[in-house]
Amino acid sequence: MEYSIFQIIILSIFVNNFVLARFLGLCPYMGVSKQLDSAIGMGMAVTFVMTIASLVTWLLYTFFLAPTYENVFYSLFNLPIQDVPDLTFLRTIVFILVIASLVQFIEMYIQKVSPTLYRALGIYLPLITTNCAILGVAVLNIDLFFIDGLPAESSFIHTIVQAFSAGLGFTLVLVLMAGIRERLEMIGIPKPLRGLPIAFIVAGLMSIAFLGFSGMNIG
Amino acid sequence: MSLITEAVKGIYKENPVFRLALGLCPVLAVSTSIINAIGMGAATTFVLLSSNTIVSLLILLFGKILSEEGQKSINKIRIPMFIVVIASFVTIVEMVMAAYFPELSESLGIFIPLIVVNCIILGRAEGFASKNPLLPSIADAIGMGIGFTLALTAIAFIRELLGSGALLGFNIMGGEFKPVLLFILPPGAFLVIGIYMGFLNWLDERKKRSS
Amino acid sequence: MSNIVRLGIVLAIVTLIAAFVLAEIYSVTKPRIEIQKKAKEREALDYVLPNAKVLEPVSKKIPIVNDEGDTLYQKEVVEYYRAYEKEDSTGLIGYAFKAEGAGYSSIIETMVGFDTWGDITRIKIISQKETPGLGALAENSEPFEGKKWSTQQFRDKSVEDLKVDKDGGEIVSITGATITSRAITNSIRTEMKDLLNRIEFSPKDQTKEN
Repeated sequence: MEYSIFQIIILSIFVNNFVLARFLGLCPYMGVSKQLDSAIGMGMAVTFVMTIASLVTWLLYTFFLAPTYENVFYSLFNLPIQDVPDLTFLRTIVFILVIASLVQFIEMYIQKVSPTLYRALGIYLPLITTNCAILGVAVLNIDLFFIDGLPAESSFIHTIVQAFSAGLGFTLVLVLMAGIRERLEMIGIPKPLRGLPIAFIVAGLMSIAFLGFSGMNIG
Repeated sequence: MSLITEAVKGIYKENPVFRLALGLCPVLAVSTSIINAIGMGAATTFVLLSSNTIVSLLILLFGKILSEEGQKSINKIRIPMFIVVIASFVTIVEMVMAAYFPELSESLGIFIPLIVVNCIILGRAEGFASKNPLLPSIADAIGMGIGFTLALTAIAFIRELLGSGALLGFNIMGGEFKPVLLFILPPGAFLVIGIYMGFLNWLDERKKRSS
Repeated sequence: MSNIVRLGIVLAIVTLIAAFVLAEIYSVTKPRIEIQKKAKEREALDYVLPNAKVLEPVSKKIPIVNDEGDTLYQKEVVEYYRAYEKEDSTGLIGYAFKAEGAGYSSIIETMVGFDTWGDITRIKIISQKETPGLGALAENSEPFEGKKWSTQQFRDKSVEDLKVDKDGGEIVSITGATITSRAITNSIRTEMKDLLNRIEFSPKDQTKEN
C-alpha cells in the first residue's frame, strides 16, 4: 500500500513522531533539551543531516546494493539482471560509514562556507553521528518505501519527504521539551527525581498527548 | 578477582541504562514484552562481546607488528575501523535472526540494525577494549551486556505485567484484572524508566545518608 | 598525503574482509530467510482454505516502462490463488487473496479465502501493528459467540454482508477499536468485489450443502 506525500508528512511529524512514538534519537532529546536556543540549533542540524543522509543512502542502495533495474551493474555494464549482485546485506555497514563520513564532511564544508552557520550548528554536528535517528530514518526509508516494482522516482520523493518531516517532528518535540525543562528548573522537585528521571516522566506525558494524533483520518 | 569486579560493575554500579543513560532507544522501544527484551539483550551482548574481543585483539596485533610511528598513524582511523567491526557483527545478528528466529526478528524490526549506533558498544570498544588486554575486555563486555539485558528485562517486566496482565505471554493476573494499556504504549516506556531511575537515586541517597 | 592514502587503503582492506565474511554468512542464511517468508504465506493460505490440496497462484504481469516509453520488463505479481480439492489440480473449491487496509496506526494485511458460492471460508490477519490490547485484538480467532470480535465471524459472509455494526452491518467491531475493525472489513469488501468482477465470478448453480 502506498502513502501520499501529505500522509507521509503528517505521519512522520505527529503520528509516528521519531522521538515519542518510534523511540529514535533519545540521546540528543534528553541531552540537548535543557535550553531553548540549543534545542533549536540541534533540531536544525538533525533535520539537515537527516535529509542529506537519506538522499545519499537512497542513491547508494538503489544504484549499488539492491539488484534492481536501476543498479549500475545492469544499466551501465549491461550485466544480465539475474547476475546483478545482491549486496543488500551490506546495508548497515555502508549506511553507517556513509553517515559518519558525511557528518565530518558537512562539518568541514559549513566551517569553510558559512562561519555564522557553523557557529550555530557546529557543536551539534559531532554528536549526530551516534544519533540513531539518522541511521533509523535511512533504514526506515528502505523498509517502508523501497517496494519491489514501484518506480524508483516515487520512492525517492517519499524518502526525502519522510526524512525532512521526521527532522521537523524531532525539532518540534525537542523545542517543546526544552520549553518545559527551562521552567522545571524553577520548581521544587523531589531530589531523587531531579535531572533525567523527571525529564523521562515529562516525555511520557508528552507522549500521551501525541497518542491523540494516531487514528486521525488523513486518508 | 579483578576480572570479576570488571564484570560485576556493569550490572549495578555502572549499569549502562540506569546509571550511564546509554543505549536508551532500544531499551524504550522493545521493552513491551520480556521475550523481546531478552532477545534484544542477547543480540546486544553478542555484538558487545564480539566487538570487544576483536578490538582488543586488533590493538594487540598492531602493537606487535607496527612501529611506534605506524601505531600512531593507525590510531587516526581507529574509530572508523571499530565501526566496521561492530557493523559486521550487527549484520551477522540481523541475518541469523531473520533466518532462525523470524518472529523475534519481526518484532524487534529496525532496532536490530540500529544496535550499531547503540552508544554502549562503541563506547566500550573505544573506552575500554582499546586500552585493555583481552580478558578484562571480555569480562567488561559480559558485565555490560548482562547489565543492559537486566535493565531491559526489568522495564519489560513492569510493562508486560501491568500493560497486558501477563508474563512471558502467560496470563498471570487472572480474569478480573483489567490491563493498563498505557504501559504497553510508548508513554509507558518513558514513565517506567523515569520512575526506575528516580527510585535508584533515592536508594543511593538513603545509603549515603546512613553511612 | 601519502599517509592518508595508506590509511585509506588499510581501512578499505578491513572493510573488504568484513564484506567477504558477511557474504559467506549471507549465502548460508539467505535460502532459510526465503523459506521462512514463504512458510508464513503458505500457513495463512492453508488456514483460510483448509480443504485445498493444491493452491495455484494466479499472477498478472505489470509492464515496467522507462522514460522513453519502452517496456523494460514484465513484473509478475500474484493476484490471487485458486484452490483445488484434488492433487491433480481439478475440482475448484475456492479462491484466496490478500487484502490491505490502513488501520489505526498501521497497514493491516489480511488473507481471505472464499468458496465457489462466493462465501468467505476463513480470514487470517497476516500483519498489523495496531495498538496492543485494542486494535491488535483483531487477530483473535476464538469461536465466535455473537458479542465479541473474532475472525471466525467472517465465515459464510458474502461481499454484501461485509459491513461493521457501526455502519449498519453485521460484523461485530472490536471494543474500542472501530477504526481497526472497519479497516479490515472494508478492505476485504473492496478487494473482494474487485476480484469477483475481474474473474467474472458467478456463484455455482447448486444449493450449498452443509
